[in-house]
Amino acid sequence: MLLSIDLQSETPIYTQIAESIIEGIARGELAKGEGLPSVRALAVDLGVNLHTVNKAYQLLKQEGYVQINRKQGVVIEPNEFPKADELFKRRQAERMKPIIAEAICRGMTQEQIRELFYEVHESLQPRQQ
Amino acid sequence: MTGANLVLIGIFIPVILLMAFTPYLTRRTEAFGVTVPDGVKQQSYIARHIKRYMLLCLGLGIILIAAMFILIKPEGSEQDHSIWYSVIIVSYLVLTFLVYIVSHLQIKAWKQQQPWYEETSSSQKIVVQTRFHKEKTTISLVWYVPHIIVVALAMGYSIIHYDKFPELLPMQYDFNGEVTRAVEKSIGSVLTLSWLSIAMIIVFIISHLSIARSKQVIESQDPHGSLQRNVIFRYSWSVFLAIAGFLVVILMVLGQLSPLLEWSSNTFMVIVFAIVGIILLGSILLSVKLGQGGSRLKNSNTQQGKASVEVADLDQHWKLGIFYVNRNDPAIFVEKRFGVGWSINYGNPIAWLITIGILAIVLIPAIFL
Repeated sequence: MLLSIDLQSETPIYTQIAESIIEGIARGELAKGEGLPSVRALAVDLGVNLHTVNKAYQLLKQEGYVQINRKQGVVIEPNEFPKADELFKRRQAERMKPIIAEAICRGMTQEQIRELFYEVHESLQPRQQ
Repeated sequence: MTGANLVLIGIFIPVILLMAFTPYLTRRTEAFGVTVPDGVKQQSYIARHIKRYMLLCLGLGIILIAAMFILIKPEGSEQDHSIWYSVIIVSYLVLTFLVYIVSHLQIKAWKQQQPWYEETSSSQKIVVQTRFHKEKTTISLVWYVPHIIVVALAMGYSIIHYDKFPELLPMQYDFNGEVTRAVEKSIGSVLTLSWLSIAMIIVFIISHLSIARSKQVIESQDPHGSLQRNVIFRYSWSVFLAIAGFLVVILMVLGQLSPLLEWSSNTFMVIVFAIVGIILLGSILLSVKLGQGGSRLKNSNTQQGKASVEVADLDQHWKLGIFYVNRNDPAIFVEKRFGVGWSINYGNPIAWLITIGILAIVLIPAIFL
């Protein structure tokens, strides 16, 4: 997959890297068990600090998206991801709150927010190659 | 005019041509060290700069060769000759560099007035392909084992046949194959060229690693195609490097064993120039055929389509369009912008250490042996 970060963004770079990889998994661009570049290789290609990439990988490991093995390096979790349970849904709802709150402040209706939601969801579907 | 001149002209002409045509060998997205969108390089403004650079390089090249004919006289001493050669070559390099800088600065200023400037410069997006390093970008380092075996055999053979070496060992030859310096025989001096071979093998292996480790470069208008071409580019050069390294080792080994081989100095000179010629021609052929980063290759696979991505131009890190200086970047090796091959990240202390190390490896034997 093409991993993209924005150096000018307010979002920390390690978060951007982690989010970009999760997007890649959602889109099917990163397959289960697929190897990711080593910390050094990715840091060199992106031109960012090694710690930044390491932090991103640790974050992904914590969330269960990757495994870090001594031999194979960093790989996308080869097993099924856990299904979304109540706890997960509640956490996601919590994370959506500020986003929807901001949208309401800007005068967006529920219909408009829904539309935006569909659009983003659509953009995360596997692309036709 | 000396015999040496003819040989040097044989080397200079291809090198001058290569310098003059450099703008055609660089990536389609680079013009004199400045990033431009695909297609802009063909527009008249940059095309004029390319033409001017080419004509000036060729013109200066003709003056260089003429200067060699006029200034270097056969009756002059060897030392006079080497001083003149240095003066002529250095002034050629300085002048062509100035021609480059003028174009670089003008194009950099011109870029900021273009309608496409805002969008490209405001983007600070970095895009990388996560699968790139899974590709086979270089041959295996195992291909350097034959080099080491050859040197080891030559060392063993020389030690076994130590008493067959003459008491005075030739150390330096002039261009006519005459010995200009000789030293007394010792184990160390008999093996001089073996030590040098080992040093050269180390330099070749570092170069190999620089190909394998250098940063990936994604062209914003053709991310997939540019990376595919880059894999071919890196792989071909790593093959070339291993072959060139082997030829150099063979040359040094023959040099070391030359007192035992009883070849005429002419035979030896022919071998020297054949090997230098092969390496020179090979590198020119690869440069022209592949272009920098593989940019002159045609892609066979176009299924991926040319989905374009936004990529930062990184111009602010490329001082004079030639020196990459980025302290935040852990990269040691980067692909050159103006020219074919790789360079270092001058913002990285490790890159400096490696450069100094290579200079030491090459210069220390040259000074002390």
